[in-house]
Amino acid sequence: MNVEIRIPGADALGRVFLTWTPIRATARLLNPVGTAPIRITLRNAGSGGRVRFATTRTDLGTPTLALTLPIDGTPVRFFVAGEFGRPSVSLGDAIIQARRTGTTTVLGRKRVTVRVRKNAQTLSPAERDRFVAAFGTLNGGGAGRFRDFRDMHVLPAVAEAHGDVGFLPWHRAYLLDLERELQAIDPAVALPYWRFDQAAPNVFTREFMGVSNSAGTVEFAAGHPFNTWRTDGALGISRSPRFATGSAPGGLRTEAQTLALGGAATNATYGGFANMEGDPHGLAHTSFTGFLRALGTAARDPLFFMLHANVDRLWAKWQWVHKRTSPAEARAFAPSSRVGHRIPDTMWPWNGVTSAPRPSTAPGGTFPASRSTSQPGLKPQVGEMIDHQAVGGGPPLAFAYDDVPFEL
Amino acid sequence: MDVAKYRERYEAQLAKAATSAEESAAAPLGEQNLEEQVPDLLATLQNREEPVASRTAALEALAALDFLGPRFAPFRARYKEALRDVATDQPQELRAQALELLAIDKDPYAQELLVQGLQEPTDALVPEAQAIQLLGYDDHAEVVPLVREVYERATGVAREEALRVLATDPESEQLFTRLLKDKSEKRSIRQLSASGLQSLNPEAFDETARKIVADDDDYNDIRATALAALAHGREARETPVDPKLVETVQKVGESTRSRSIRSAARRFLQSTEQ
Amino acid sequence: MHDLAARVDELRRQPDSARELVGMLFEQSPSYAGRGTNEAERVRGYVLASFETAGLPPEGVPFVLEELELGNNPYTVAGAARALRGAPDVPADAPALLVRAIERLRGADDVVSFDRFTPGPARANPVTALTELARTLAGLGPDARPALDELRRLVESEGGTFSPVVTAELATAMNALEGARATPAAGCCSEHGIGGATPVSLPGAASEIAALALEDQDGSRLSFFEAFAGRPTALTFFYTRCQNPEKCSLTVTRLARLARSCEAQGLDANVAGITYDAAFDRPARLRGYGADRAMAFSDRCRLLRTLGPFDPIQATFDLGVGFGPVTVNRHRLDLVVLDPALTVTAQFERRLWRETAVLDALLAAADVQAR
Repeated sequence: MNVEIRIPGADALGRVFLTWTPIRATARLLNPVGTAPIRITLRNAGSGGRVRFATTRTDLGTPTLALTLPIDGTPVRFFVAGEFGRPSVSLGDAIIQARRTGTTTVLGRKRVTVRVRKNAQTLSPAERDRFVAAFGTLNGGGAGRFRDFRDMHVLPAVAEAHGDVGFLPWHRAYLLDLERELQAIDPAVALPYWRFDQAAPNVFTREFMGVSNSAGTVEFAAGHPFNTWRTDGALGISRSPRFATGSAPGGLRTEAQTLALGGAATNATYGGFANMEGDPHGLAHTSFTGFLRALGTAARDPLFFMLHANVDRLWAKWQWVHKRTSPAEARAFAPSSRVGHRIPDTMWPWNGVTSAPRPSTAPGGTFPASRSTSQPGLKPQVGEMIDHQAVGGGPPLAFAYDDVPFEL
Repeated sequence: MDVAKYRERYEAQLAKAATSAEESAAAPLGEQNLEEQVPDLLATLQNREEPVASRTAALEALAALDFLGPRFAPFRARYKEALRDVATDQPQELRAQALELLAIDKDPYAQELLVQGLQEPTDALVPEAQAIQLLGYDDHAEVVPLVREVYERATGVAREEALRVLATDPESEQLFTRLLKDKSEKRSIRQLSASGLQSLNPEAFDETARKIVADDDDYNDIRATALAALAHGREARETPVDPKLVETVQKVGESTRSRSIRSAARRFLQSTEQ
Repeated sequence: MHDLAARVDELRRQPDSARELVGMLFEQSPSYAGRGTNEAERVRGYVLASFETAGLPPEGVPFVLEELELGNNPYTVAGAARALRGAPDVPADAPALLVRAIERLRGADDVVSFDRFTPGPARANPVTALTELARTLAGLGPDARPALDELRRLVESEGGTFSPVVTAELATAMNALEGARATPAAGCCSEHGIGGATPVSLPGAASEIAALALEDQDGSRLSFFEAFAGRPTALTFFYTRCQNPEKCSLTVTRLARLARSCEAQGLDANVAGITYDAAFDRPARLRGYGADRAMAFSDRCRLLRTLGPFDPIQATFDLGVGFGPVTVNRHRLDLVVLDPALTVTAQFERRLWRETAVLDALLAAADVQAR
């Protein structure tokens, strides 16, 4: 007799990836013995990530859950989510174990990965190496799919993603697109964020994002995947921090100051918060020389995506702390007259629209699908990028930050 | 972690920060009316009576505002003119930043100034290596012949930057091949040459790289670089797995004491399994 | 570069110099050989601006319209705007293309000066590219009236991206157009660049071209004849490091669409692109570039490079392309239609080709075979 645990969204190899958002799962008996229902307890058995269980969709899951499974094998539903604060450190290190209640008999187990975006400063060497390896493969010495990401963030496309309220949703979609491509190469990878209001000396090392030489070109350790990094036909990454890498860049708003934009607590409005596009976002860019310093070249540097992961994390944090996750809530977003910046608008380039005023080409095609979720679909809308953890219900976007919980 | 308690702690942090002296009272960059803010910043930048620190701060603010895209567009022409104005100014840091921002934009004036500085070092506005790097932003400029000359005479970082620029020119393939094979050459040059050759002629690179990987008498870091480049190149080009190469890499990975080679070998072998 | 500028200055002082100025605009002119893109663009812009006073002859019009339609360098586009002021008759496409250029450059305005050639900070009274475009539009008077609605739409939707000076110039232009008497609406974009009525056959060079060795995106090697003979062909030219997304990136995207249209219509034709930059655009690069633009590769749909020099291709089709020390410095759009016997039956140059026109040309070329 054993218990089959099923969680939807498994990839082709049966691997499941969770974030903090509760996902509906089932457990059922296989090869039953006897005629009476069997009582089981779901619990954590892994050494890395941990999960929480509940019978309803809640943010108050528990580390164990008792279920009664019918003898006829009818599945019993429950909810499972990553335990906030306990993400995985390696693939499949979170184990859901089903024990016969009151015994140590293990009737079933399921490996899952609690995969969330983490602070780049505190990644383990293994996590760091997997990330740069996947990213190096995506760049492929200039011949890989990273070309599309580079082509999405060029001057003719600036108006699609900057200077208006769609700045944050567009970049959220952009990062998620890239992250899914990285996960197609290595599913253990999640995009780390560079927290630019704190010192991050572990980021600016030869093993990670490199150390600048005196000309302002970044150098990496031997064998580092970024040694073959190429964009626009040219070799290498131009970047030199204009700050000591043992400290944070000076002059940028702190996280607390950023979250205070748009007003406090019950009055917080997105329109005010979106001013973070100038400071800290713009100033984070200009705290370097090199590619990051200008709009037209910024996306040539892989650090761009970690910088923007932090921008997105700040938005996610603001959404969580001020409870602004619903697109229907007026203060969760702001109106615009510009196409591509309104809630129901689809976003370039994923929508393939190339008539004026959009750019004349749309690189990359439609948005990549994910086994973990059906969202946001092939042509994401601005509004679909707002409630990324699905606080309001429905499928999430299947990414989360290590310090932004799911809370109803 | 208890989410409710986490919220409590976090809200307390935010409240504390709101009352602390650290909070900036100034409106964030870009929140103010740009029609007032930008002209003031431009005036500060171009005012040679202002302290260098003020002018540099103004330039940084303008560069950050440029990220606002369409909102900054009305000022972009004036901004570029201001950059050209200060590109030859005395404070080196200021002109270096201005030249960089112009060079990123492939500005012809900035390119002329940088070329002049390479041809006549007494006219140089930025160090040689930096000038080459800035010119490298435009692979359609006609600087390659000049950079080739600089490469022949330069040393150190300037020579490396020159090689990076030459990596855009298919005529450099023979140079990169020669440098990559030359064990007496500086290792950073050989690593650059590996990347350069792979980009210009992946098949020729593969042939040379295989020999380097198998050569126990070559430097570990060069062998690791070659191996990593082989892995990424193969994946990007989706070329079939070569069993002989796999065998070679397995042997090298097992016999080496070098961590970087072992790691690169592992990565290569993983890539062949996918 | 300064020698070319000096020549332009000299011509500006001479009467009846317009034709010689036009001669300086051909991309393949030896004057541009070995020059970088910035230099080539600067000379072109300087030459174009000269037509304001020298007068714009009919043979110069395609260069001006091309720049307004596709140019992304503010200096050259502004030069084209100035050139139009010297045209005795306003080309039908011009007003709409002026508005299109304003839209395309709205985020990339820059100060331009045509009083002296050397780049540098403006000495006095700086004028920007958008201002030049707006002034030309205003100066066209009633002939620009068909572009009024489009201009209004642009100012309403994108007005925040224009400086106060440009906003005022656009308002002046709108007033000038609004005050103009109504003229019969002209089509936005007329047919353009279609080759002469007489098909141009490849002379003795046909055998050279036929044997020319090519390599496609998969590394397959074949001759020009093997690639294209036996079916009608739409053949265009590009390179992966083209800096103007309105040219090669858009061309290959449209090529992919053309291939799909051919298939949808049951037309058995080749659709292909040959790179100008053979040494750099090796198969992997060609494959990536095409795939990124939705090309579905097959033996009917390829991106190729020459295995030797590109010169025979350029010479045979008289392509408008110039080369700097490393790569292309400037090129026009070129698309040729070949019949199954490799005879050129249509040539589209300089302007954006219409898919329907190319399809018609392919069908006509197929009919030649059938007959």
